[in-house]
Amino acid sequence: MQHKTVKVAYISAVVWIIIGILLGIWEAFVFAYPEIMYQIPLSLRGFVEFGKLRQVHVNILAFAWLSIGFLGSLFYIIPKASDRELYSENLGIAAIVLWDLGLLVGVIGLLFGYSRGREYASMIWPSDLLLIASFILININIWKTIAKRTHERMNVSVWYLAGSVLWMPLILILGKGLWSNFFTNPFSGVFDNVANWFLGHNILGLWFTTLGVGTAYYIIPRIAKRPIFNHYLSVIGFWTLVLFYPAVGSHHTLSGPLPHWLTAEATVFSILMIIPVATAIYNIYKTVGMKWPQLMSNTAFAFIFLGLFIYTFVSFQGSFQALMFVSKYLHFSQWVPGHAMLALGGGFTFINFGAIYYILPRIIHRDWWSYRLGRWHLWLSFFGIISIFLALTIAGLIQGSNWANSIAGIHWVDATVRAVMPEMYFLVIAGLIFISGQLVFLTNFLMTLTLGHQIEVHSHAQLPEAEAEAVEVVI
Amino acid sequence: MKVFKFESSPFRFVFLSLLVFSFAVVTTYIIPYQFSKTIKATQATVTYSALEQKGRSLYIREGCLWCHSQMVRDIEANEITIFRRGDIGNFTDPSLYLKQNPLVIGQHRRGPDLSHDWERWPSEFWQTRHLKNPQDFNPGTWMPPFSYLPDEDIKALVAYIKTLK
Repeated sequence: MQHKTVKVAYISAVVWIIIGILLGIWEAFVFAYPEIMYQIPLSLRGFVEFGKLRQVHVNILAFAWLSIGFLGSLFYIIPKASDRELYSENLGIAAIVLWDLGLLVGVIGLLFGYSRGREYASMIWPSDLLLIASFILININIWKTIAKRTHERMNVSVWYLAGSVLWMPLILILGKGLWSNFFTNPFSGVFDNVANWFLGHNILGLWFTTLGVGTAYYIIPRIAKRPIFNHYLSVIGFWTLVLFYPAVGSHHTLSGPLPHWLTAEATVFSILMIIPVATAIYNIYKTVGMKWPQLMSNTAFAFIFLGLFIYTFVSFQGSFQALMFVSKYLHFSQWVPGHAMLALGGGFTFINFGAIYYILPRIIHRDWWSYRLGRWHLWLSFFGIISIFLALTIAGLIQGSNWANSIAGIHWVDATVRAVMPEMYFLVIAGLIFISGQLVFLTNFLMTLTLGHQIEVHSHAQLPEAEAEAVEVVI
Repeated sequence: MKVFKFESSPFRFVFLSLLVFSFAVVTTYIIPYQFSKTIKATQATVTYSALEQKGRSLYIREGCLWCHSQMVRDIEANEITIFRRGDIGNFTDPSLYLKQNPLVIGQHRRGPDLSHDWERWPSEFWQTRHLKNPQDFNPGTWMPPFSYLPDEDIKALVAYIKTLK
């Protein structure tokens, strides 16, 4: 059956995001009321304490929801852009199932304490094995499809998407040191930190960013029914991204025990990241032009447009906080999770949702069950994530200034915990707003799969000099 | 519209994208890897006994590292406050981490930095009771009570904490 891979990917991604956000709300609740831990039976306490669940939350939302969701879109976009069907639906489904299994094994391992103890790299070897097997299948499938393409030229979105699946297995192998020892951590000493953040920042730079921007480059011109604004900007944006982004990892350890040239290089390239971000965003926004206020009524467009807006903001914020004097003040504080949540939970999650809103009707030939639920989902998610970001950012500013207290000193519980309690209450409320948006989406998604009314989606009307086919806007 | 050569040839595209990517692999992975081999053991280097190593793996298993950092940066050494001005302690030298695998320098300070923990709280009684019931000493703290761990695990954790000085 056509597009079955996409459907399997979307369904599993939606299941994962609900689990991941529920865990996040529990964590926010622990921040707001830490005494709750004393009321939990001893036998359960080890499974609900913050340290373990935090890893589960991060891994589920980054590697399950975002990755699988984007893979679903990739399995739709690459065949469409090549004007062919996917090389093999069975291989595609196998890849998604392997990925799901890898995450399941990894996450259950984390709950029972089997962790590599490294940020974004904490899942253990069985999960790595499954993910790499999945990547091999994805690469075969994608490149075979691209090889059969009808137009000689590859679309901009294909560069981004095909590039991502090419780099990401290499990043996993290098960053986790799988080339040296597959089963445990191979590195001792400060290089462990360097390798860890080579992976840690590249999953943002050469995986989520490239998948998100690639998806936007495909969908935005089709909804706006205009060709991409400037081809040279696409080329510059893509290659500068590949050159600059992978070198920024060490800005997570500024003025730490790493060699100074390495952290200096990371800071320099973090600032240079302004170039690819500004280029790609300018290019996409000029593609839309002055039509954006009308197009905001299209839920898919609104999600991607807001997602790109958040992505721009968060990228400039990232360049800013990679500066030494800013990092001195804000590193280690709640500001940093706020930044990460806005990038992944705001920017890329929104682009992912936009892609689902655009692609799902085209593969199941059913319109969305409810337009209004889609709008509720959009604005609840937007205000939810912005509130989460504000709560954590304000908390981080308070903590940073308390730690730098240079007059009398301050007890760390007062400085770190009690000072930010109001923000933590706000964080719980913001999390509840966010999850209510996702539950609205879940309802809409399930009803669409079963009850959405049948539609025919027209495609293949050629745009002037664009590789894009214009598609009737169905939502 | 000019079509570049990499756009129409997947082989060219793969080659070029791996080539551009390799810049970062060389400068931020291979060269630091070679560099890290030149770090020599000093007096600061910590080696662990079996019990301390067990405590260290418990520290990772129970997720302590997601809230406690173990890195004092050179710009904040003897300046940042935990109780009194500057009591965060000295810069943590690269040689300190030489024998550690994985590194637990951490990204967050939801609890205080633990690089010099044993210098601030050098008491086995205090550490044991604090692990089991942190609210006794710091009401309102985010730290969960680790009273669900068996006593020998708590002993191993305290033995590990003793190496943090």
